[in-house]
Amino acid sequence: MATAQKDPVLVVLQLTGGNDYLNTVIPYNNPLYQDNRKAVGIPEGQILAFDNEYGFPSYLAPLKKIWDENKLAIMHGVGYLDSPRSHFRSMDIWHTCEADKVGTEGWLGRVIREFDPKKENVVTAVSFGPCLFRALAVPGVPVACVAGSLERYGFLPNIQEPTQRQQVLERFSRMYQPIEGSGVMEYLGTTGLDSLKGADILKVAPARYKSDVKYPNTSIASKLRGIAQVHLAGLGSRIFYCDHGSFDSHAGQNPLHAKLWTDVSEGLDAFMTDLRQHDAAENVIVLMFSEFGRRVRDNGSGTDHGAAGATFVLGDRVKGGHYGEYPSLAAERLVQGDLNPSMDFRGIYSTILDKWLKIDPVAIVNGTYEQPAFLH
Amino acid sequence: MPLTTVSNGRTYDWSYAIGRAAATGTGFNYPQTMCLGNDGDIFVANRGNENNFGQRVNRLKLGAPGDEELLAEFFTWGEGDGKSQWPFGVAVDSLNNVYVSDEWTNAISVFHGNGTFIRKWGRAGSGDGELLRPAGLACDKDDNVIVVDSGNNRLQVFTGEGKFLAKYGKAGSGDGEFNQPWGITLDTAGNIYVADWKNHRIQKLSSDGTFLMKIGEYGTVPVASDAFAVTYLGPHVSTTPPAEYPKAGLLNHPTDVAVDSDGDIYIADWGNHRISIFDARGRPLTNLMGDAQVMSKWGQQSIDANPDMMKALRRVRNLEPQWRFCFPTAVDFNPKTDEIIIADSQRNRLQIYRKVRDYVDFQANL
Amino acid sequence: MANHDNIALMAHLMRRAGFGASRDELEARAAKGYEATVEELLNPESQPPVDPYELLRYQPAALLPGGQPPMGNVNYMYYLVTTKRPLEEKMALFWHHVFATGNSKVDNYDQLLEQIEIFRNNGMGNYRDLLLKMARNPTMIFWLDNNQNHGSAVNENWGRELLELFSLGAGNYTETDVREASRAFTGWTFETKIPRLPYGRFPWKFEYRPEDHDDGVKEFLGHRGHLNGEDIIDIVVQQPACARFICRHLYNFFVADEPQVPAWSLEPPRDPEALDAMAKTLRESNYEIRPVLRMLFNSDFFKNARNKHLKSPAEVVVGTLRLVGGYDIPKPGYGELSMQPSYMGQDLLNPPSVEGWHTGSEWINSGSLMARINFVAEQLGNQSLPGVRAIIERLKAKGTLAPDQLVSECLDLLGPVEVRPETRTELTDQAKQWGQLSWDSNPNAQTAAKRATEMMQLIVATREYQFA
Repeated sequence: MATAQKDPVLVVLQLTGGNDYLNTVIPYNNPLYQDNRKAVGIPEGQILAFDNEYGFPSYLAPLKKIWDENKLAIMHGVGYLDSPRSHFRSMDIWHTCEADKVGTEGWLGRVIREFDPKKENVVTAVSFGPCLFRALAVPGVPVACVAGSLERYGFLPNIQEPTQRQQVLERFSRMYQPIEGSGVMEYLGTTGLDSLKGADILKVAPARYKSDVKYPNTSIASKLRGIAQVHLAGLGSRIFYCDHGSFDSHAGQNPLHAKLWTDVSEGLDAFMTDLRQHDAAENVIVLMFSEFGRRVRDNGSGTDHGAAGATFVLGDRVKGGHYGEYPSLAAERLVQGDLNPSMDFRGIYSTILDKWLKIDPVAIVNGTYEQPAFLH
Repeated sequence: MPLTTVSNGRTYDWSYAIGRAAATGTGFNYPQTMCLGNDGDIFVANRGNENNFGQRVNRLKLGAPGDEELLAEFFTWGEGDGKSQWPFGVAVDSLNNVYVSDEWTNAISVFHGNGTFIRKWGRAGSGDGELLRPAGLACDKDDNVIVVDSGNNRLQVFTGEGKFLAKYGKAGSGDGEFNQPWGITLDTAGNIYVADWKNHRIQKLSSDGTFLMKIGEYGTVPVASDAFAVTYLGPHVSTTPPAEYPKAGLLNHPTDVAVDSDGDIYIADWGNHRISIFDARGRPLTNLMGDAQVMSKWGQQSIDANPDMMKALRRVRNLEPQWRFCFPTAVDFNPKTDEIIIADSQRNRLQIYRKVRDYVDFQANL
Repeated sequence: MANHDNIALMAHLMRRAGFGASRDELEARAAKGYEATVEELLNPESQPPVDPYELLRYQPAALLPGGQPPMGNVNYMYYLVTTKRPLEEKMALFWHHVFATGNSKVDNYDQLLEQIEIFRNNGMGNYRDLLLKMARNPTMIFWLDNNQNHGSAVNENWGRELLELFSLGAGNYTETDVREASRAFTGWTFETKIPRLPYGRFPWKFEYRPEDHDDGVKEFLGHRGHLNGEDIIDIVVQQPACARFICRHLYNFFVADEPQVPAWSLEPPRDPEALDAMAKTLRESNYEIRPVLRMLFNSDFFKNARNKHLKSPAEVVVGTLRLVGGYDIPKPGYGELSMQPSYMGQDLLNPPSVEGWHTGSEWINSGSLMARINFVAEQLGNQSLPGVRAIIERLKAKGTLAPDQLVSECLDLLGPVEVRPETRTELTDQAKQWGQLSWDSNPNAQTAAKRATEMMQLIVATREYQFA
């Protein structure tokens, strides 16, 4: 397993709910920004400028640090044609790469199947969340879903007394022994034992983990810490998935957006520091996306569902900088009041697949897309 | 469609709407009840939802249409002092202290008018002073708090500090008995009016809890054959009137009641999606159905920011469903302005009518 | 007192025709008799419907929940958990499996709940009428793009799925039939609805636009004429394949797991005789569903099909919540509970595609197996829930429990659950570690209750428990 440790790893952080692009990468010198953002505009004094055009709001300070290190790529105007502006539909499109019909296979599920066609490692992909994200879902492809803390992951977490627990799990293992030729019962047996094995494997991660890095006490930070624990344990995991939200800031946007991004950027800062201290950052990149951006003009308190957004990739092997073009805010260039997408999200996936995970992207993303060159 | 309702010598003008769907800030999230403060501001309790978002009391400044302003938000979702799970009733005493009930934690929380938490009291149970799903609240002239103890099918009276003083009523359908009562109001003489929800009636009690009278009987409003249900539970709207003329005085799960300075009684006829008006002796007068033909100020901001919504609105054949009440939960009367304020719960807004006193019968030949 | 076989058979009926039942309910029903219970299930009017006002009283956000979970799920779960008309609700779920429509595209739980309400109210009635209601259902029209099916530009999505997934099954029609059926449904669309901003959601309303309807001559399954959508449905139900297709769905859902729908044109049914008998009943009753269900539940092939069906996540969650009790009003946390089936692979109101959920062993993968076992175990481990207390009371009434007695009684009260001898040995060995359980003092009774819930958790973790 030690050799697997240096294989390229992808961490996906999903910003659920539709992150407001305009208030994340702020075109602060554009008068149209102030015009459209009378209620939720970020004042210039609270902007960390990159240059004389764009900047982050001050609550993204930890991310600005990574930008200054030249390890954060910002993809501008990301989306796809005919954005449906529905959370569900949009998220589905991002997860399945099917813009015109309801897709049944997640793009990362296909990746996992390529990595481990014989299902030899049940922790090739580890998801931190209560459910299987659709991006990871392909029938028959195992994914370990950690709903709560990694420490409590496993069967029957209610039975905690150590001796009871050990006995009960041994019984479980014996009750699930294969029954030759029994069809469904045999399948259940294999699956149960796989699952038990996954839990046993993941159990070692918190035990092996030692770190001086203090993660903030937020849900996203504890998910990222869990990812760091599994990654550092060298279990051969290649895909990690987690989410944070909800970024659906229809109302009271400014305090909400600030809180969410403080959580995300502080969590990422701790995560990257942790990996670097363990000399385990080189083979990790983090992809951060949201299903859509938000309306250009605010509604007096927040912003409603929009189209184009920003996507971020960060890591020590990432070539920092701007990629693509910030879509025009001019009224005549908007589509239904939204920024018009200028980069297809499947191009970003393609770069990651082709240049990082070394997999042919065409079959995964259902086509050929221009690849932004954000990797060294 | 007319914006004025005339009946039995009374006239009601639709005035304006306040609000929009919003989990925080300028708007509401399933507004349940409201209460006018001493300075004319209004406190609105929002139920929120299972995303644990939206629960709160908003304090709003009222004025002419379009003057509304959000002044404060408090009793937001959470555990501990000043936080809520299932906010419901709200009442204000003579010192502008705000009392709010929480139907899940079985407690009454008290705040200063600016939203600062003062104290809370109440515990779950059915003994004297114990509460089960406390719903509507009212403050009497001595600043005692009358709590609709809905799960125990009774009213209880407390001091503002939470000391138990009295209880009235028990479970049942007889006079002075209740079945999951909900909203409450007091008239100027201190009589108590309670929306007796599952008995489909309003009961009027004297200030010492003696039964005085009841209004209403169970019934649903007849629906035209081509009617279009705005939700699967109504309201139904149709371009043709129903074949059958609605019987007067029917109520379907009434949730709240208000009394105006003339003694007329306004009932939030929740399940029939209307406000039913009765005179002081309980005779039916007329109904208000909701007339929000003009967009609220905050609603217009949403429309302005979303050109696709604007386009869709222009293509809609019949906007009537948007004007009508959808499960109105509460009604208040402001004696200083003669305004009738209705919490149009499923539409996340207040609709405001004015009882007109200088109305001249209309001129036929303008 | 009903004997053990009667209880076991009644438990089987209630698991399949409903979502399980407490031991008290099973005993009462067994005393009333099997056929009488079937009749009561088939005629739910004798029991009160779920009171939607009670739900809205406490959770107003469940009425128009919009596009984001979980309030739509809360609404649906409330009905599933509290209904006194279990077969009515089970049939609604059945049709939701067949006419699979998902929030991933519809983005509006209000509309999906309205569809469930149609299934609830018509699920045991006439299939032809239900199919027509679906053809006019705006949610279905949007889901399968019939609003983009124009006289001048045909969109075949609805026309195809109508034949392939909702009535006949692949192999029983031609591509020409798909085309002609689609033409017949041109102009079946909905009115522009009031947009959701700023006040919340408004529903769609069906609209027929004659100017957008292709009124030309069509040829469909041997019929020729100026056919419209209703004609197509009438022709469809005349096909023998139609009755067999619907009955195979019913067999898969109620009796025993069949292969997935796309394989039906290739793989023979598990029990051809049963299917023939069901299809005959359906045709002879002019596509009334109730007579088929009556015949099915009273048949030997049903009674002998115990444990031949892998529980769906909805059956796992709803059955457990009804067993443990305490969820009669939607308390805070109901949102999370109502999302549990999705964690096990069945996101209610959001099936993965128009094909619906793949059932049987496809419910199981390493993540979903852990989710289902842990959920049931957590509920049964919670002694504050009334149904769990009731089970413990029954155990207590048995007095001192030797290890094999503890196992027998727990297996009995949780089903009865039938396990293989090997499984039983493991359970008994575990119970032997704990020794004899007695209730004679407070500390002993506490230990006994704790061990009993641990035994139940181990039982629900068995493979056997995953079957119904």
